[in-house]
Formats: sequence, C-alpha cells, structure tokens
Amino acid sequence: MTANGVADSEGTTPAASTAVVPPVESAGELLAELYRMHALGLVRLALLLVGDQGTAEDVVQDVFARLYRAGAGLRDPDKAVPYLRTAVVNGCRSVLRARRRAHLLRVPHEPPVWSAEAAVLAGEDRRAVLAAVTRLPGRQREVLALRYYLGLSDAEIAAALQVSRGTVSSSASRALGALARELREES
Amino acid sequence: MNRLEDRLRDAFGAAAETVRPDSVGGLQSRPRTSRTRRLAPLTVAAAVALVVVGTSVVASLAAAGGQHARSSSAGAGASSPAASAVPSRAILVVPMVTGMAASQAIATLHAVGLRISTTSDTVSTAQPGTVIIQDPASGTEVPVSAIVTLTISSGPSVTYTLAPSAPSRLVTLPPYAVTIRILRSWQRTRGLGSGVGYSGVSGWVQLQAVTDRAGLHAACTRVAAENVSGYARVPFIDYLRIDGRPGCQILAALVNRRTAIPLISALVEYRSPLSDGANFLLISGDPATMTGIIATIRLHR
Repeated sequence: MTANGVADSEGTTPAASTAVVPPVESAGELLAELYRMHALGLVRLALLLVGDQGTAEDVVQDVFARLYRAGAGLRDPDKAVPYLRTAVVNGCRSVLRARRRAHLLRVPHEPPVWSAEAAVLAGEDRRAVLAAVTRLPGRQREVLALRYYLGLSDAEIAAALQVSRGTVSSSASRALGALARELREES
Repeated sequence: MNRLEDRLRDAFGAAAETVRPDSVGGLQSRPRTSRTRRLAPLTVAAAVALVVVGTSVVASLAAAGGQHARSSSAGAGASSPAASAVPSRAILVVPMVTGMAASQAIATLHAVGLRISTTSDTVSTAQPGTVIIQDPASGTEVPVSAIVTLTISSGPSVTYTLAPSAPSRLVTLPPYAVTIRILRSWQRTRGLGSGVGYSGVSGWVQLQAVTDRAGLHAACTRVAAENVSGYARVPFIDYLRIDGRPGCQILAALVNRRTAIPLISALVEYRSPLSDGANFLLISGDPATMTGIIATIRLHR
C-alpha cells in the first residue's frame, strides 16, 4: 500500500471537472436511474398539490410510464428534471380537474394530508397554513410549492409551469398576500 | 413576510415528509389502474446516510440492517454457502482457485464446503480482484469447513476523485450484520477545497477526495449548523462524484433539505474482492467545521 497522505486539490481539480458522466446504456436504464433519483421528490411535490400519497404516486408513476412508452425521446439528462417537474404539475392539474368532476358524482377520495382527519401531519399551524394554501387558485398553489418546497428560482418555476417570470412573481406575491390576510385572521 | 415564508417552508416540508422514502415503490412500466399500496423495497441508504451524522452509528445501522428483511442489493457475488449439504466428517480436496476472480474462487470454495479467509496484496501485475495465493494449495486434503486463506490482488493503487454531478441510486441493504470501521477522521484547517487524503488500511481502498472549491465555499457560507433532523437524504448529488473505478458508485449524499446544499458526504458502494457481501464507503463531512469521517461499512451474513 502506498501511503498517500493529504493531497491538495490544486493539481487534481481540473481532472475532476473534465470527468464525464458514465454512459447510460439504454433509454430504459436512464429512466430507471431518473426514477431512482427523483421519484421521492416528485411524489412529495405531487402530494403538496393533490393532497394524498396514493394519488401523488399515481401521478408520478403515470409520468414515468408515459416517458417509458415514448421510448427514446429523452436524450438529454439535464433537461429531464425540468421536464419531469412540468409533467408532474400537469398530471396533478388533471387529477384536480377529474376530482372536481368526480365531486359532482360524489366519489370520495382519501382525506388530504392537510385535513384534520389526517393524523400524519402534526401541528395545528402547519395544517392551517396548508389548508389556506389549498384555498388558493391552482397556479398560485403550484408557485408556492415549487418555490418554498423545492426551493426553485423564479426562472425555474416559470419553466416548470410554462408561464412567464412575471406571472410567477405576480402569482407568488398575490398568493403570499392572500395567505397573510387569511392566516392573520385565523390566528 | 419572512415569517410567513418560513411557515410555508415548514408546512410544506412536514407535509412532504409524510411520504416516507421507503413507501415509494419501484418504477412500473405500465400505468397503474388501481391504487393498491405496493410493498416497496426498503431503502436503507437514507437511514445509513442520516445516521452517520449522529454518533450512534453502529447501533442504529445494526438495527436498520436487522429490520429490513428484503435483500435486493447490488451486493456483488453474494454466494450462498452450500456447506450444509456436505456430510460433516468428509475429507475434501482443495480445488484450484489461484488465478480466479475472488468472487468465483469464494463461490467455488463455498460450494465444496470450505470456509474462506482473505487477505490482500498490492500487485500491479495481477488483475485486481484475482486470487494470487491460496493456502492450503490445491490438491491438499482437508476436513470439511477447513479455512482456505486467499490472497487477493488489490491491483495497483487507485485514486478516487470527488467532483460535481454524480449519478446516484438508492439501494436496499441486505439483512446482513454490519460492521463499521471508522478508518480516519479528519479536520482540515487549510481551507475549503483542499483534498482529503486517505491511504488505505488493510488494502481495501485508497481514496482521495477532492471537492469543488467554489461549491464548497458556497455550501460553507450557507449551511448553518443544524441538528440531524435538518438534513434529509436527497438522492441527488451536486458536488460529489466518484470516478475512475468500475463497480464504485455514490449511493446517497446528505443534503441540507432547506437549502438543497449537499454536505461533503457520500455513501459509496464498492465491490471488494475481500468480501462477498456489500461494501460501502462512507465519506461524511461538515463544511462548516471541516470535520468528517471516512468509514467502511461492510455487510456480512
């Protein structure tokens, strides 16, 4: 064994930065890799939008299933994550639309995570905040989740929601204003 | 307004965490039609990564290893001993395994009912992972369950480099017992971005971690000292990558979940010719204090 001791980064950093990502053999493998890396985060994002884990998982599974069927469409891994985010947000919108229809037919769904029946979420304040968020219009809710849960920049949010940056910031400030009013009244 | 933003972050974070990492199932190629809950393989990588920040490393890991009964890990060459099928008084002839790959040699010896002890040597002429010496030699008659000592080439020394954008994946750890050896702890005072040098103990790995200076500087200035629960495993790595050796892969990194800034942390799985179980190398550090550990985690039956 050679004793190497402490090495300084000066000499080795350039080599590190030129290292390449190992090639991924197939689209299916890339997809599996993406799933392993991002499924949890995406399910959590979807949960914030649709309220229950089962539906959130369905949304994410469906997104990946569509990608899988689409086959070799996904070549650039850098674009994959923004794409997945957009697809999940769109999937959640469809679910919420379907729910509004279903509501007319009185089809029940699982109690959302922010409801009083959902014992999984501890803390009155959190529940109040989330409940207030769900009363916001859809886009404002999406902006809040992307900004304060995922911590995305306004530009990234704009890309995910396919709207302009101006729309993002105005939605965000309107949402925050509405929340501030509502939460102050409640407490 | 800031207070409201904090409340939002807190509420979102808490709601999101109601989705446990182990509850999200695997990728299915067809859309789901019913909402039946799947039995998901338990991903322990998160537990491992989290636990290491704390101090009760061994106990928690052992518990984690014990709880999770499903094994689908990439634990290379998990050869199941077939020794029990062999009558106990029998005399065996040691097969020839010199020159074989270690996993193959181990499987061969297990299959005839021998036990194995391994050691390693740095030999640049032999393929890494091949058996250089076996003791006793082939053809020797030994009782069942005798121990054959294999000397395995660890090849020439290898340098690992940590750099941005690692591919990562989650693993399910098999229900093996766990030993953790803290190989080295370090404290750096020479500034961010300096390398962490490590020279392998007992010839397992040689590791040299070099971190991205700019990224680490950003991390250092922004990561506040939070308690362990402030960190969550995010299966995505920004600043760390391990290159240069097949069979070596970063599995998880510790990331500050609020700021999404990774610590200098990585859980690395590597194939070792010395063990038939899964091997993990844990590199964990805190940029704020520039302290950390390198530990090997070996899982064995």
